[in-house]
This record gives sequence, C-alpha cells and structure tokens, in this order.
Amino acid sequence: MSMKILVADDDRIIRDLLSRSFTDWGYEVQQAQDGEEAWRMLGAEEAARLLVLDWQMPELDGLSLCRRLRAASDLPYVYVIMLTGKGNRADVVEALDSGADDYLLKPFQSDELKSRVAVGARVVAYEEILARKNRELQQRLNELAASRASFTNIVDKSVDAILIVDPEGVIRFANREIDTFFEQSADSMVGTKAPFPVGPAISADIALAGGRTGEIRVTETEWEGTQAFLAVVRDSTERSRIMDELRRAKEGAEAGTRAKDLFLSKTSHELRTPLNSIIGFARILLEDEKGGVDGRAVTFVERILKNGTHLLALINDLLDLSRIESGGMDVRSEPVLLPALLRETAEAMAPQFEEKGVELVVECPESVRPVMLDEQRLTQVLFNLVGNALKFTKRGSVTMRVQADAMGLVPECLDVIDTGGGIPSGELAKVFEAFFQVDAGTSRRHEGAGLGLSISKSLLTLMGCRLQVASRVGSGSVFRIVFPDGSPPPLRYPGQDGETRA
Amino acid sequence: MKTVAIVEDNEDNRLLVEVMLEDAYDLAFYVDAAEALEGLPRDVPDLVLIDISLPGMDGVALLGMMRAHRRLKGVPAIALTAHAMAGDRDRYLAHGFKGYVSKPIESRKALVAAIEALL
Repeated sequence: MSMKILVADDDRIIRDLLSRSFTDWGYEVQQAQDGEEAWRMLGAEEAARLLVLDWQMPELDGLSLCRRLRAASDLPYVYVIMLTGKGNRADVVEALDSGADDYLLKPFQSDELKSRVAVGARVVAYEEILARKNRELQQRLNELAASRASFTNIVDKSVDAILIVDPEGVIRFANREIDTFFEQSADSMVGTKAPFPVGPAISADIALAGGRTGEIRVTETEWEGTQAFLAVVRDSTERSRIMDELRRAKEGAEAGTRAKDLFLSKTSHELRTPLNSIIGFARILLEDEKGGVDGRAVTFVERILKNGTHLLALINDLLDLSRIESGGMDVRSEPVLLPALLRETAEAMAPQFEEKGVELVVECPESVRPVMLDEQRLTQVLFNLVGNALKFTKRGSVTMRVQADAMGLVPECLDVIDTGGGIPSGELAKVFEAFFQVDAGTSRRHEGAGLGLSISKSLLTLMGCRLQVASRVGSGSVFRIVFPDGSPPPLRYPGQDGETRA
Repeated sequence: MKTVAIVEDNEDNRLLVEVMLEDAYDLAFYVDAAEALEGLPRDVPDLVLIDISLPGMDGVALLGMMRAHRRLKGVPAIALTAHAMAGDRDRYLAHGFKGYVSKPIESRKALVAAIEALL
C-alpha cells in the first residue's frame, strides 16, 4: 500500500503541482486548502502520516497547526515538512521549534522535494514499525501481568503457607496465608530469617501460632535466577487430631477384640468343663461292666448323654459363630485333595446313613487338581451340609458331587444334593440366617440350633468361596460350594434338568 | 502295668479319668503343679496327663518345669483340657505336649488311644 501524503496549501496552483509530483512518485495524495481543514483530515481514520504544509494560510497557519499537532497526544505521529518563502535562520528555528520535522524553501527544486519527502516517508515507516512493536510489547506486558495476578491469586488463596527462602535462611517471598500461621504479615516476614530450618528435602513438624501444629516440606527451587528453597507449611492440627482419634479407636477396637476373644475362650472352657462330667459319666453308666444301670434307667441315661452331646455341639457352633463375627477366625490356605476329602467324609458318615437307610453317593473326577482352602474348615462345612441333607431326607440319597472344567482338572464347585423334602421358595433366602430352621416355628422336629448353615456360609466366605442353594418342595435341595475363581454351570434344583432321581 | 500320672484340680474330672483308666494303668493323682513337682520325681510315671487351667502354675508352665527337670524331662505329657477352640491343639503341641485330648473327653477309647500312642 502506498503512503498517504496530505498537502495543505491555500494556493491551488502549488497544491496541484505538488499533488501531481507526489502522485508521480508513487504516493497517495490528499489535499487541504487551509490549516483547519488539514487538522480535521488528520484526525480522521486512516489519516495521512506525512504532511507537506504551507507556512502561511488563512484560518490556521502552518506554525499553529504544527503546535496543535504536537500537543495532541492522542494522534499518531505525523511527519511535517514546512514549505515557506521565508528564508532566514530565525524562521527556520521557529518552524522547527513549532514541531516541524523538516523545512523547505520556496521555490524548491523537484528533486530536493522528492528526497525530503522520501526521508519523511522512511521516518513514518519506522515510526509505524516502532508503534507496532510497542503495541506487541504492551500486549505481552498485559499478559504477563495477568499471569502474575493469577499466580499471586492462587498462592495467596492457598490454605498452605508458601515461602521462598534463600540458602541463608532469609525469606524472599511469602504468601498471605502465612499471616494466620505465624501471626506476622507476609510483608513483614520477607527479608527476615525463616522461623524454621531449611535445607534440601526437609519434612518436619513445626509449632504454629495459637497452639496449632504444622507440617513443613522443603524442596529445592530457583528464585529470581538463584538457588533457593520452596517451603510449604500445612496446618496439620486437624489431621493430627483425627489420626490420634483413629489410633485410639483402633486400639480400643483391638482391645475389644482381644477382650472378646478372651471372653469366648473362657466361656468355652467353663462350659466344657461340666460337660466333661455329664457326658463322661453318662457314658460310664451305659457301659456294661461299670455302669450297673438297667431297665428304664438306661433310657434316662441315654437321654442325658444325647442332650449333653447336643449341648456341646451347640456350644461349639455358638463359639464358632462368635469368633467368625468378631473377626477372630483365621483360615489357612493349603492344597486340599477333593477325592480323598470326599471319600473320608463319606466313610465317617456311613454309619448314620446306614442307620437311616439313605444312600450316600460320591461323584468326583480323580483327575481334579487340589484347591487352596482350609482343609479342616472345609471338612467342617461338608459334614454340616451332608449332615443337614441326611437330616431332612427320609428316603433316597445324598450326593456329594464335584464339578470340574471340561478337562476335568480345575474344580469349579462342590454340590451336596439331597432327595429330601425341599425348602419352600419363600424361605430359601432365610436358610443362611442364624437360628433359622424350616418348620422351626411349628415343631422342632429336627435337632440343631439352626446355626450350621450360617457358620458354613461365613467360613466359606472367609475362604473366598460362595455358598448357594436351589430347592423345590418335593424335589429336594442342592447346596453348592463355589470354589474361589470357580465358574460352574447354573445351579438347578434336583431333577430340574431332567436328571433321574436316585 | 504302666503308670500314668494325672494333674487335675477338678475332683469330678479326676474321678472320671480314674474310672476310665483304672483297669488299664496304675494311676497317680496330683491336684496342682506344686504337688506334681514334689511327687513326680519320687515316683516317675510313664506318662502324664496335664490339665491346662490349674490353680497357681498352669499346665504349660508345669510342662516347662518338667522339661528342665533331670528325672522328668523324658516323660511324655498329654494336654487334657477344656481349651478346645480352633488353634488350641496346635498351640499346646507347639509348647511341647506330645498329645492333646479335649474335654469333654470323646470316649474311653479315644483317651486310651492317645495314651497308648505315646507309651
């Protein structure tokens, strides 16, 4: 874009002459016939920045326009070349003093005018570059100021005290929060020694104002180009208080658990001691050579023995349940061989099954790998499940069945399936509750306190297994132990999938 | 006949063990650890049944004293105790008892089997 020149002269002939020359030299030309008009044009948008001005004009002469231009701080810089017929030194000085940049005597030579205008054009071009750079700088400064303001805002609003300390321990910067921590204003602390030790990687507790405690962390940093330390102080009063409370609560809970375990252990001991005599002497009485009881007395002693044994089982169950609930029961993780475990369980329970005329079936692939469980606890659960199944089965069978993956290697679950009366669907969800028994409310046909399934479920949970049940009245029940990571097929009640009942 | 000593403070339990074992062994009874430590060295038995919860020194401490005693250190001991919660058996075996029988005693047969295993 070519540069604009404003020619201000009241003599139209000179104006046109100048304009033609400037146009020839590649400038864009505007014209004004007096000072006032020139002044108005210079105030417009995109006004000329190069002014060739006649000294003597009506309304507003060249000198006055010059002075007015220089006094107007809101106008961009205008390069002024003054034209005049006055030729002495004092006139030159007056023109330059009024603010003109250059001075050309009439009559002037065309080539001199061209050169002088070219100088002006260069100055205006430089001026524009300078102005642009200046605007850019100003914008950068504004951005920096905004960035600093948000930094200061973040640091001041931080609930932590943030300090910069030089290697001599003198505070170089402190945020506002420090006022509340040290009862001194941030400004008054800058330049003084830090009231805490500084050094690389320090982490310590310090006393704060008002009896509060703080936690200080020091890391190395730079501040204004030199090595320094960044210290962050956090009020840890509340945290310390909560930690203390937690520790006390934990100690209390642990003491409670210990007390409960001790109580359970003592209770167990004190209940078993008299049972030793009750059960022991009842047995002695029933022995032929020593007992010496006969007739109805035998039945009475048998009742004593039966009830004593039942009481012992109850006590064992209750103590187990209490221990599980108090978290005092530990389970082991050891390889358990299921085929052997099932065989041993079947052997141990065989007499009870024979007595009742119910068949006990074991189905377990010999190839299955051991499962990692607590063998003693798993045996306890199995005895319970199989014992339960027998208790509620009048005829037919009880089956212990291990299901493994397709290869017959990884055991998925252990089902205990009976052909007993089954559990009404409305009561299925309650079978794992303590003291629950199907029909318990109406008639206590079945022995036991109803703790077995509850204990079994808790023990299995401790071992990472799940206990599931499916049942239908008239078809029987199946209780399923799902091994950890086991993914067995869906659980169905006996006979549901067309299986023939034993 | 082999001699079995019983350290037991509960009179009923002493009587029960006596009835269970009198046909099979010569029996010697002590009511606490102090009495046992006095009598056992004079009349060293083949085996000792020790109740754990004894007045004064308990059964575990008594076993410790026996282990330190020249004449008693080789005598096998069975813990005969109503401490029968999970882990109790392992704990007493770790203390040096060679056998463990919980109360209530399951049967005469079980008690005799535990004793015979160590004689």
